[in-house]
Amino acid sequence: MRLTTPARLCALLGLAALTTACAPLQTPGAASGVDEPDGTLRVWLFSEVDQAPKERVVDAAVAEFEAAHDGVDVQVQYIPVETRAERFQGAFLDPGSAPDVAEYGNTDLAGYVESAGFVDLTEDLSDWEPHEDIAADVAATAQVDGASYGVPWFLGARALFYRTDVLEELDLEVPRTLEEVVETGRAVREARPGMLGISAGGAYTYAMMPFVWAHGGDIAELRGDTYAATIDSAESRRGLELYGRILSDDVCPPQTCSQLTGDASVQNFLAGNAAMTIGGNFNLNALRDSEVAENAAVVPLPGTEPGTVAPAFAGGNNLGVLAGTERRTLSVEFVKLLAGKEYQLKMYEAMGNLPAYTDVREELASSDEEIGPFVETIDAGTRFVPVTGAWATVDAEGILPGMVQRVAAGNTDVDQATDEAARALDTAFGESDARGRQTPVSAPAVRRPTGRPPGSRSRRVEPWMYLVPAALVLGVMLVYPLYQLVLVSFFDYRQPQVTGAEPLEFVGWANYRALLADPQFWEVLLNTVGFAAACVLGTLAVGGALAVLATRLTPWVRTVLFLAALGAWATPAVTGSAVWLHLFDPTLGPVNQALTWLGLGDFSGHSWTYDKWSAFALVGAQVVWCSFPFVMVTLYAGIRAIPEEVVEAARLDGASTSRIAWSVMLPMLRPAVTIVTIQSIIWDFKIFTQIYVMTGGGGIAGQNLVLNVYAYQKAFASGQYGLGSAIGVITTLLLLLITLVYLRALRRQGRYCDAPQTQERRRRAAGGAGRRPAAVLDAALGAQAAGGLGGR
Amino acid sequence: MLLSALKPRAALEAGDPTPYTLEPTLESFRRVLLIDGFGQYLLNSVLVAVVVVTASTLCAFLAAVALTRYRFRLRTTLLVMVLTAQMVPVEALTIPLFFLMRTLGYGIPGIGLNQLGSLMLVHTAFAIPLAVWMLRAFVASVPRELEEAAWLDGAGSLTFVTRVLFPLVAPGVVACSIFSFIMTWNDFLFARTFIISAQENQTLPIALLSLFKPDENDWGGIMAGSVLMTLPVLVFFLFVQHRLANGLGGAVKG
Repeated sequence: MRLTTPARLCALLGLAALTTACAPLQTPGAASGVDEPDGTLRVWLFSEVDQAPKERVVDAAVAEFEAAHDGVDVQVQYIPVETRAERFQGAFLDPGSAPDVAEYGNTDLAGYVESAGFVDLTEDLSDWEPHEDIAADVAATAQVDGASYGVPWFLGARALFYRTDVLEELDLEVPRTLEEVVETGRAVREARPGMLGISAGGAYTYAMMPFVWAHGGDIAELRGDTYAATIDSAESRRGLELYGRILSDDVCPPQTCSQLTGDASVQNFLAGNAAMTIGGNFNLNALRDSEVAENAAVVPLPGTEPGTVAPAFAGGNNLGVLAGTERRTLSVEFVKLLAGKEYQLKMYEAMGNLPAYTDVREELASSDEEIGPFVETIDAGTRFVPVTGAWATVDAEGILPGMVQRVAAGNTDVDQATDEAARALDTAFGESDARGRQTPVSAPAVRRPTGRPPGSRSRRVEPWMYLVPAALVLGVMLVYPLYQLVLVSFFDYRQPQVTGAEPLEFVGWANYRALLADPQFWEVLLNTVGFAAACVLGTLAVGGALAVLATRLTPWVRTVLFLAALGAWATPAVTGSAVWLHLFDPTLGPVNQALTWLGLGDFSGHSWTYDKWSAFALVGAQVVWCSFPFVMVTLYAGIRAIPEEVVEAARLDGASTSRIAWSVMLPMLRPAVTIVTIQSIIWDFKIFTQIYVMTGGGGIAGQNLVLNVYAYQKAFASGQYGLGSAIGVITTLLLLLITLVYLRALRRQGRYCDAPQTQERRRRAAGGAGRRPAAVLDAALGAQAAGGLGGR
Repeated sequence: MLLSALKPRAALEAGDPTPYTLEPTLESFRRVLLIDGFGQYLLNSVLVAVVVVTASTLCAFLAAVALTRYRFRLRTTLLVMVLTAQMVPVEALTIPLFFLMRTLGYGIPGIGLNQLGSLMLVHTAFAIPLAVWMLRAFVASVPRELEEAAWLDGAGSLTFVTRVLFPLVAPGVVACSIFSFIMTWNDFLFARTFIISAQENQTLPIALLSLFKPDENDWGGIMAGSVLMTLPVLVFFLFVQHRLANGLGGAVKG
């Protein structure tokens, strides 16, 4: 009995953990089946540039709906389009947390349906009269395999916007072919170097695609059941080559344009900075209110031959009901209201969104000639992106923008960029279709260990009683997840496996093999190591220099310096990032303004996050800024701890100042330096917040990814949780390795340091077997505690 | 940061290069607090932090008592385990924790995804190892004779721990509470991942991020939000700055 109580408890806990958790969690995210008549209705709509009018229309609809339904509270949340992938992924994984109604881009639908994220509304819409006025091809943008998953809320078509005054003054014709569009842009910029010839960015896929389509190319084509990339075909390459010519210094410099999305591209035109752009009907209102309103005109984007129209992308957003809703009836009614004719017309008036209803559109076309070019574009034939769930991955990973940006930056030629993009596309298409169904593994649910030692008052049992709360929390929230992390990394674990729609498949080392074979992984690993190394060196240099400086300052100045450092140290990572982003904002940031004012060149509009190295440098500077205080304070304390007599003695022996610093003080500072170095390595290796916030989740085409952000994106944006976990395991192992080196260094440091107090301490520490590691670890944790705060 | 927050919005948007303003205004603060609902987010952050601090400190205190005032098998092993736990990169655990929260949410209302409870639970867990380690030193410094005296006076072990020991280590409890508070307050990753659609359950860092708009960043608002978020941390930092130096002193002389 003496020995068994704790031992048995451990065995029990271990056994419980083993038997209840031999597979990754697999819980059906099934709909609740509840249909509440009241309560809160959560709605997700996309946030847009100048969305105040949209909000007003939506608010009116909400007010009308709430007035008609007692006890119903509609909460509208505007989510950014850029990060929608991870938001929707999360919502599908946990239907209980999902909104009830959501606006979504029609290109995303196939993926959402594959994830069983939206409710099939076919029956609800069959007897809804207005639905008959939506043309079949438009209705099809909300359908997958014949079932409707929403109501088209509006259509979007894009056309060529140009400045009548600029073209007239320069005696230029309105371009009649795509080739002429580029040449006209070049001519404008030649005459007006301060102006962009045509503002069309590298991240503006729907401006790029008409070039490809007009030349007879396409993103991919359906072969059998699977899509195969055709972006590397000769036709596609011709279109892409032409679009790539826009992103050159003599039309739209890559420095400015490579990062531009559709919104930002149009924004340049509206601000009067560009002679042309490719804009949508949804930009018309903004155009009308802009300073160039008087001097702008719109024509359909021409094709390769005069008189033709380049095929436009049939864009548009739908409103749908999410599968997890507990208020299905209410949700459908809200969709019918907001996507009804009345509010679609209001949305047209507010935002210029083209109504999906044929009759409403016709009515508009007769009364409003501005939308003429867009209707003409739609009539000339539209195209769509591949209807497959893989499109969400393609979009989230930015494969097409990445391709364009690499060409624009001159890193690769069109052939190589399209080859790479085609490979990435095929991988995405392949993953979405290859769904193995082998080795089903049973999936028991989590059960929390509830074992409790008997309430005896014996001193042997008491400590365990005190340990239970902490052990319980740590076991469930730390040990178990760690175990799951490793486990999941050996499984093919994606959306269908998580919800139990498909059986789990043990894939062994496949995730790791895929990672090691992926050049991007190696690039990210290199980024991580290089970035961490640079940050560590920077932190040590700045912190060390200031520590030395602090010893020479008058107390008053020193206090100011320490207070300032404390401020930087205390600033949370998120707010620190925000402040730095503000300082380096391309147009409004003080840094660019100061540089321009100093006459160092024209920095207005200079983007610091465009170039890979300048983006890393910016983030690195922020990291150094928030972590140097730890180094400074530690080293300062270390210098202060050196006994005066030692330095005095050295000086009496005739040593020079530099020699004292190098041969006397540095060896004595060695322990402190070791601690701050390794500690800095550990933090800088796992930087997440700064990269995520400052480079918008990993920079252009993922150029600024580090391991942690990479794992996060793989898991939560692309839905490849197995792969993400594998990256997590690798990160953890690398960190443990560093930690091990850390502990060894701490243990050894006594050998190098001859300070009397250390020897005494070592003697003391050597006293009890259990105490020595504790003393070493104590030091480690003290540093962790003090420094870890700022970095997080 | 403070200067930009106090600047009138118009001056900021006009790109006025002077780093200060002669007409400081609280308009940005009013805007974020009233229109953007920062009051609610502030409250959420405070709520999460308070629960985490209380729960983690309590758990850690009891664990520290067990690990210092008793000698038993596995004691050293447990100590090392606590330390290893401290070294585990929390970022890597986001994925499994997400699924764990999702599963727990089905069984126990209030702690699933989208709920503040999920954040409380996770942060409590991550705050415990450090808190145990910090409190250990404090608990160990209380002389053993005191315990014997209490025992002679008829106090049971539990009475001793709650009535005598706890008040004696109160300074340590305060210090380690502040550390837990700052850790929780600053969290970005979990708040970002766990709170999916419940806007009313967002915490400050995420609310701050939502102020970043495609083309028209409201820098005045962002800076005002940053000030609101940084102030409490700064105040607490000033509180523990001596401890920071002391903790480091130990480490440096190590």
